Amino acid sequence: MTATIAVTIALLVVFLGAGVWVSLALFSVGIAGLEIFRNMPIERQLAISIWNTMTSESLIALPLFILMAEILFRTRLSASLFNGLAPWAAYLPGRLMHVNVLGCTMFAAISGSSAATAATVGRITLSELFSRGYSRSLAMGSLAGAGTLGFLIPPSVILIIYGVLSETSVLKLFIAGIVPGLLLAATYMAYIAVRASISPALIPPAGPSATAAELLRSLVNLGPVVFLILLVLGSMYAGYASPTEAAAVGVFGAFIIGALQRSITWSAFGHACISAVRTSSMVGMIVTAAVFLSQAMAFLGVPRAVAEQIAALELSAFSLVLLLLVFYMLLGCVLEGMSAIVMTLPITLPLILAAGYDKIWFGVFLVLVVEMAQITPPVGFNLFVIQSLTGERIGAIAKAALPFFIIMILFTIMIAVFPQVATWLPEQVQLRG
Amino acid sequence: MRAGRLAAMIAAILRHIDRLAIWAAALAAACLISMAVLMMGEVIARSAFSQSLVFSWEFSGYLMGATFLFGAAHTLRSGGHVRVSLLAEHLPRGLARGLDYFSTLVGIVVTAYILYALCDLTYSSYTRDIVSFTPTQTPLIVPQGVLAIGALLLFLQMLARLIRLFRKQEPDLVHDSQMLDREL
Repeated sequence: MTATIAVTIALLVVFLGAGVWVSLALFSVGIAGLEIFRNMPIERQLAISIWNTMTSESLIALPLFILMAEILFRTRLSASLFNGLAPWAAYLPGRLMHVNVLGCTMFAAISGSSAATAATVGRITLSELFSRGYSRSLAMGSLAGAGTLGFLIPPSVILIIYGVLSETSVLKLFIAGIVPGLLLAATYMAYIAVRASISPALIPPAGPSATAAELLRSLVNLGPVVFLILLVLGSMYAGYASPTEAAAVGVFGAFIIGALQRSITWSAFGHACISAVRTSSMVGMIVTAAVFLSQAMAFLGVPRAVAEQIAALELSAFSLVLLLLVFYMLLGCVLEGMSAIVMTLPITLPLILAAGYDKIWFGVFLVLVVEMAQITPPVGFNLFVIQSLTGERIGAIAKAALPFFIIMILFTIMIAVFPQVATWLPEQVQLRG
Repeated sequence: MRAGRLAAMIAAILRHIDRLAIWAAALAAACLISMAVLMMGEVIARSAFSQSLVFSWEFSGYLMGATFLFGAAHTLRSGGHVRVSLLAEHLPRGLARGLDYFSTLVGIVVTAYILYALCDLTYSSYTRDIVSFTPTQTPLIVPQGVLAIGALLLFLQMLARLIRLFRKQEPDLVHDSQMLDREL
């Protein structure tokens, strides 16, 4: 058994380290593992597994939410978001610095991806904040941190993938993300307010405050975003649409907003579609490979063997969570977060269930872990997004994001101590029927 | 002279493989849009006429498979499939190139095996006339054949990548303007 585990892990490390594409590396390890240790014809099993995952109904929401984000990225939604939020943020300590967090929180409610959230919100806010003399470092850091809310606040691409892999209701996962997402946003804002009060130099002097009429007019700018939130989340929570159908409604909503703003041309729409195809194909291949690998692992009995070895350590539930947190943080440095999760889930999910934690809770935990991976160098997609927006060095951006990274770690530990933060709301919904 | 003709021929083949990948990606985009339309149709049919379309979920699934695999070759060409580049970035040029050869060879073997497996599945659906367990009774040879074609294109693109490495050409097309698109 130890040989099986050792060979599997060694193959995975060698293939991934050599730079074999993640999806193909996962396929090869699954195929090789079965060939070496089971010596059985696996082409049929491989084909059926690919066929089932690639046409799985529960995955359909994924490419649709990706397409929606690509369309929104090409509209003027980010400008209207900034114009709508800025006059109100001026009343908070730290003023416009809060626009990143507020904007990302709202945008996260219509976007399933964290890089898309950071890119869409940041393309306007960063240059506005820089030109008004706000601290570059705090502006970049708060965008890197708040951008990751895209995964936690529903809809969420990661939660869809987790739902498929762990066979959990995506709708319940979406509900579970709401309270932690809003709490994390509030924590970011509290941190910004404290930083701004301690060192006022980070924030430029206040300009003339907005009149009541201006404040009211700014609300009109938030119209498109609020419309989309009602359309996507509203249709889902009111029970009119499943998450998948809500994604389709969202695609049309995004298209209508682009058409009404006259901001999206047919050529931009074409680019959005091709771009969405590339991302969907990449994610879809990885998820398909991960499902096959987890079936192969189960055949080989690897999850059970690892679970027995970990059980022999007699860790408490809480130290197991801490161990996983450190493990995923290390993995997140070298791997992109989603890949890290899908390839380890077959082993970690049974462990965490055995320790008495809830499936839904673990989904939220993993999202937080992916979010951390998004902003840890050298591989962190949100860092890449901010680099392409500002031209700063990755090191400088990662340093700016560090306080927000630490907040995330503390927040994740808090969720481990009080799992109810994540599980309370979905349980209420369950009670109602 | 002959070497020149051969080089021109190989360049032409590479161009054709790229063109195939781009056409397939455009087809994948059409599949993606059709999925959105089908699902929207389902929402409207259910809320306005309280009737579900029998085929919308099933066909959306087939279209999703087509999106994933028809898009895969072009995604490879434009450097869109995630890989760990950490080691390659810190190694001397020659070694990094060696790793790239190794990865591409592994890629060729795996995609060839996936292609074989999907062709085998499609062929058995054909010989046994297998249809879906749904009211539409779709012959599975169609959607499964589509996946096999997608796998073939990915395999060809992987071969083209190896040839480009041999010819010391840039194996992935990554433009700065595409970078952001790619990360989303």
